[in-house]
Order: sequence, then structure tokens, then C-alpha cells
Amino acid sequence: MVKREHLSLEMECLTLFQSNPYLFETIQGLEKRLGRRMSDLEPILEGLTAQGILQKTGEGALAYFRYKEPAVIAEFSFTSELEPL
Amino acid sequence: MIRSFDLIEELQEMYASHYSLTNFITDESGNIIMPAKGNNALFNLLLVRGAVKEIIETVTKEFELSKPFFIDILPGVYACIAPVEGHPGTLLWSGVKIEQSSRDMVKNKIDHLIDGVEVDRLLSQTSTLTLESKKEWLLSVKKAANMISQLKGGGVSLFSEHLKVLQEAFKAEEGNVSRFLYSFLEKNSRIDFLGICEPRLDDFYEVSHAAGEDAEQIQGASFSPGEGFLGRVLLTGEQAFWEGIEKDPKYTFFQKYHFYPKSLFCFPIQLRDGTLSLFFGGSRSSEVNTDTVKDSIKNMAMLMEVILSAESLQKENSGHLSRQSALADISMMLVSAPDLKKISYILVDISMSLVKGPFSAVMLKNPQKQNMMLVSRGNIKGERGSYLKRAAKDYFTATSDLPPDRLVPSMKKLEGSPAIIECPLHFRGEILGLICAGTNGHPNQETEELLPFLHTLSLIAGVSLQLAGEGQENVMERKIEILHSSIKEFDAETNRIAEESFKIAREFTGKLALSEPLIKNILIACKVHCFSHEYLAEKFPEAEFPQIVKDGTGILAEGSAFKNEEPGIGSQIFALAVSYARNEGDMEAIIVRPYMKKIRQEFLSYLEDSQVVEQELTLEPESSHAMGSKSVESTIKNHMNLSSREKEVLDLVIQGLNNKEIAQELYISEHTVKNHLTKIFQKLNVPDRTQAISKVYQLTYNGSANP
Repeated sequence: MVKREHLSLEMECLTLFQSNPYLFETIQGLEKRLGRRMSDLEPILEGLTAQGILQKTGEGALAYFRYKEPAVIAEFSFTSELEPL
Repeated sequence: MIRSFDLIEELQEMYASHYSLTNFITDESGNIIMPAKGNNALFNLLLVRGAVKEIIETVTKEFELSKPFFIDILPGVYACIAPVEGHPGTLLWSGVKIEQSSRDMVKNKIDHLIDGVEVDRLLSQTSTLTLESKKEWLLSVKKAANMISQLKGGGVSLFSEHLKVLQEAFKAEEGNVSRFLYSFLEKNSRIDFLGICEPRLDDFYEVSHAAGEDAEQIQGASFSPGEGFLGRVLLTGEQAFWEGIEKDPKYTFFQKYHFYPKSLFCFPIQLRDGTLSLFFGGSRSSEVNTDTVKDSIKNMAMLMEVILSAESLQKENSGHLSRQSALADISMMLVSAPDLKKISYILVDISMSLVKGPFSAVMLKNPQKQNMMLVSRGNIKGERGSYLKRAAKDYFTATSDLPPDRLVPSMKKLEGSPAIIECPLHFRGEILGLICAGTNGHPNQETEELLPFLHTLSLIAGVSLQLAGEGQENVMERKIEILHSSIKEFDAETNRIAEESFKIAREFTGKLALSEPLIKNILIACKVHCFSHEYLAEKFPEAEFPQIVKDGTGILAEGSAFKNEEPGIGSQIFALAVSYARNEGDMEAIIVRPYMKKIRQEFLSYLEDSQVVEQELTLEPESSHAMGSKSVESTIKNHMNLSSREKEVLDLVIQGLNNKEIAQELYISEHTVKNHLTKIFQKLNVPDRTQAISKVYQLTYNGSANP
């Protein structure tokens, strides 16, 4: 079963990256910023990276994480014909 | 009792002679309750010399034994101790054996400790402790302790022992299933291993916890329902005991993991959320599950059910708490988000992160336009894109208020592809946006659980969107007012056109079935009609009225043609209103365009109707006196063949003045007034003043011209 105990920490990570969209940080740096254990942070950061919310550069302790902005279509007409995007 | 005492004594003797070991039994206080039996000379000597007394005290006080174990009476000299099940603190001691490598050291030690003993003979009579004999010794002493336990009878029941484990474990802050398993093992010497199997996401089950010697071999082992002994219980849902399982074909499951039990049991445990877990265990040494053991296992399974349920509840509870604190974080984030874009970023990330599916999209309706802003993560191309458009159209173009059940998140089951969660964002019944999050499969309990969370999220998001939207709208309205007042300052004529076109457009659009946002855009366009649409589009990039100004100005410009499509209804109304205002209300001069026949006709009809209404309005409220005097005055002015001085005199007569007052009013003599009156009477063909007044009223109401 998918564990949801980490939801709160996941939201904390999201908040941090959304409030600081230019943040470029290692896992140790995030550990200090959020005051959380690296072992707790690791699976969450990996999960967010897998979902495309964060971008990971490098490997291991030297890996940097940064926020990846979502795709935006400013004016998306829904009254036009229903052709695929 | 006496009988059991004799039997125990006999058992002791049999054991002693069979293994050449001396044995005795101590109670929970360390007293020897069954004296030593056997001919192990070294152990007997050590006992007589009091060398074992201290060890007995230490073991009784400080050790809590559940299984047989070895203890060194002297370095290299070992005894084996086994607890007597059902009688806490009661121990069977058996000894001693010497390690081969330690013989010399032991000889020195005994020489030093005990004088006058023939040490070599003593040592040669004592068996050597080898690796093989160790296992055999443990097993034999365990068997003997079990038999003693049965002979003693009574004692503390195993169930109450188990209950004690449960009580102690619940006192601890965190429940740990493995710890319970080990506690159970300690209390049950007939069972060597215990474990728990839990379902995985992929319909397989795996051994999530395993306790006992070598049990780590099967930790993490996975199987499908129906596979092996454990998988069978998943299918039948019934508890099962197996003995002599090595010959069973299902045994390969354990062989695969190099784990070789001789007997096995397995209990299904149904948890509150409907999932099934398995509690299993068995023995690697004993093949037979006696009824006593079965009863004890059943007790254990019952307690395990309680433990697992408690753990599941604890998890659920901590899940709720975690969600609550996450929601608080999200609310803070949404409320402090400065604009719609930021809010949509937050929502798309949260929905993606919660649902963990292939895509997530947040669509925010643009109140000024018939389109929306779409923020997405994951792949939304192809079929998914078409679906998003359909969903947006469905929610955003609904003409009436959506029923309450459509305002809550729901699972959209699509044919041939995984379900999608639709979560509308609304404020007081008005749809402001929509979250669509793709899931990885068909709806299950996990995704169903998300819906209430998303519902709360959608409510917070709805309020935040409304707040942010109001903020943006206010900024726009302020900017427009500044532009409008600048026109007033610099160009009076343009300002008049702006005001009049705004006024007529407001009245006319009020009669038409147009949407609120469109009317708003037409009215703003009228106010700022004199600005270039490029300038407006630059200053208000998100707004729709610059387009109305552009098209409307195009319509107004002579010779401008719309090749592909007609300009929107908003631009047409704007053009009509501005044209009306520019021509100062001259209906004939209102622009004519081939594509505007219908709306122009409606506009003209509206103007005609409104003029009739205006006339009626101006007539009705005025008093009859004012109306009469005005009409009489005009009758005198326009229709009487009188000189201007005579008209003035007649007017004053009708107002009720006498000759003297008229003379004073006109600064003439009374005599002149009389002359004028005589002439007036002649011209009106009346004999006197009263008849003259009557004649004027008559003319006024009959509408006839000259008398």
C-alpha cells in the first residue's frame, strides 16, 4: 500500500520550492532548510522528481534539486472545435 | 501432586543416565526444588562446593528465559538451562560439558580452586562440548523441560502470558509488529518462527515481518493468492495447521528461500479497511502440533489480530493528522499566493503529488473571456487534451447553476483508459476552475480516500481564486477609470461620446440576453473608445475589451471589410452605440453594415420605444397647470393674429391680472391697456375679457389654428 504518512513533508517540500522557484539545493542543504532528516527527505525528493515537479542534476550527495515550472497555456479555448492538443 | 513429584524425579533420573549429565530444578527465587540427579562428577563436585550457587542467583534474578541456553559455570565448563513452560522462573539445569580447547585451562583452574581432587580423572569422565553435541543437548534439555512442564500441570496459562506481552507492548509509545512476534516466540518454546504477510500494490502478498532463527531468509518473500501454503489460506479464508510438510509439493515455496519448517500454521486476519493479512508460524524441530500448541497458537492469532488492527488504526489516525497539517500548509500557501497563476501552480503540483498519476491539469476560467488558463504536468497530448476540452466545456459553459453533487470531486471512469479525478473549484456556486488528475488505474480505495481531501482543497482553492480574481478585477477597473477621467480632462467632445455611448449601450444591452462579462466588456469599450486597440491590448493583455474596440472601430471605419468572419456581437453593439453618440442621437445617421441588419433593427426599435417612453414620462409627471399655461402660451404665440404687444397683454389677462396690474407689468398706461384689449376683443371676435380667455383655451385644446 502506498504510504501517505509523508504527505505533510511532501507539502513542506512543495511549499519551499514553489516559494523559491530559483532555489538550487542539495539534499544536505534541504535537510538544513527544512530541519528534517535526510533519510525522510530522500524518498520524497525522488518521488517529486519522478513526477516531474523537481529536476535533479547529478547523483548521490552531490545531486541538486530545483523546481520545474509546469506547462502553461495562457489562453486555452474550450469553445472551439475539439481537436486534440 | 505427589505423583507428579515422583514422575518428575524419575524423568530426571532417566535423563541423567541417558546423557551422563546431572540435572536439578530451581524455582523463581533460585531455590532448588528438585534435587540434583545424575553422575556427572564435575558438576556434582561444583554443586557440593557451592560454585554454582552464585550463578543460580544471577540467572534467576537477571535473566528472563524463554528458550534453552548455555552458561559457563567456569570458563570452558558449560551447563544448559531450559525454562519450564507455564511456570515462569522455573528452570531445568543440566551439566556439565567441557570445551576441548579449554581442557588445560579448566585443569589449572580446578587445581587452584579445589584441592585434593584427582583432577585428571574428573576431567576424563566429563564429556566434551562440540558443535554437534551443542544442538543435541539444547534439544534434549528442551524436551525434558517440556515433559516436566506437562507433569507439573497448572501453573500460569500461556494465554495470560501472551496478554502480558500485549499489555507491555501497548504501554510502549510505538507499536512494532516485529517486537510482538519476538515476545510471542519467547513465551512459546514449541514455536520457532512467526511472521506476518501483507498485501502489496500489485495484488501479490509478501512476508512483511518475520521473527525467529533464520527467519530473515523468508523476510520479503512474495507469493500470489493460491501459491504455496500461505497463498492457499488467502483463497480459503480459513485458518490451517500442517504437519510433516516436507513431502507436500507446496513446500517448494520455503525451499526456494532455504528455510525448512517441519510444521506450519497460518491464520487470515481481516483488517478494518477490508484488507487481508496473514499471521503464520511453525516449528523447524517439531512435526506435531498438539492440541495444547494449537490452542496457544489460536490465542496468539487472536491477539495478533488486535495488534494489527491497533496498528492499522494508529496509521489511519496519523494519516488523518498528517493530512490535516498538510491541509493547513496548503491553505497558508494558497491564501498568500499573489495571483491566479501562482494558485494554479500550487494546485497542479499538489494534485499531481497526491494522485501520483500520469498527468494533472488545472484549468482556470477567464471571467472576461470565453477561454481559460491551463496549467499542466505530465503528458496531456492526444486523447487527454480532447478530454480536458470536453471537461472544461462541460463545466464552464453550463448555463444554469450546477447541482451540488457536481460541485464535489468525482471519479470519471473512461472506457479503455485509467479513471480521472475531476475536482471543480467554485465559490458560491460559481465555477471558477477545474482540476483534472489522471490516475494509474481503476478507482480503488486509495483513490477514493483522496476525494474528501481534494474536496476540502477545492473549497480553499475556490475562496483563494475568488480573492485573487477580485484583486485583479479591481486593479483593472481602477486603470479604466483613470483613462476615462483623462478623456474628460482633455477632450470634452470625446468625453460626451464616451458617456452617451456608454449610457445607450448600457440601456440597450440590458434588453438583450447577453452574458454579464460581455456586457461589461462592451461598456468598458465605450468608455475608452478613443484609445487605439494596440494601446489597450498592451495595457490590459488579459482583457477582452481591446478586441471589441478593435473590431468596433473597424466596423465604424468606412470601407473596412471583415473577410472571414463577422465581428462579434459585442463589437457590433459598441459600433452602434458610438455611432449613435457621435451623431447626437440622429437615428437616421446610425451606421449601416450588411452584416448588422438584425442588430441595427433591434437598436432602432429600442431607440423608438425609448423615445415614446421618454415623451410619456415627460408629460405624466408635470402638473396640469404648468401644462396648461405652457400650451396656452404657445397658442397665443403661434396661432393668434395679434401684435406682439397685444399678445403680451392677452397672456397677462389669462394669468388673471387686471388692467392696472398689466399696465404696471408692461410699463404702459392703463388707457393703453384698454386700447389693446379693445383691439384684442375685436380680433378674437369676443365681447369681453372672460370670453377672450375661454377662446384661447378652446383653441389650445381643439388645436385649431388661427381664429
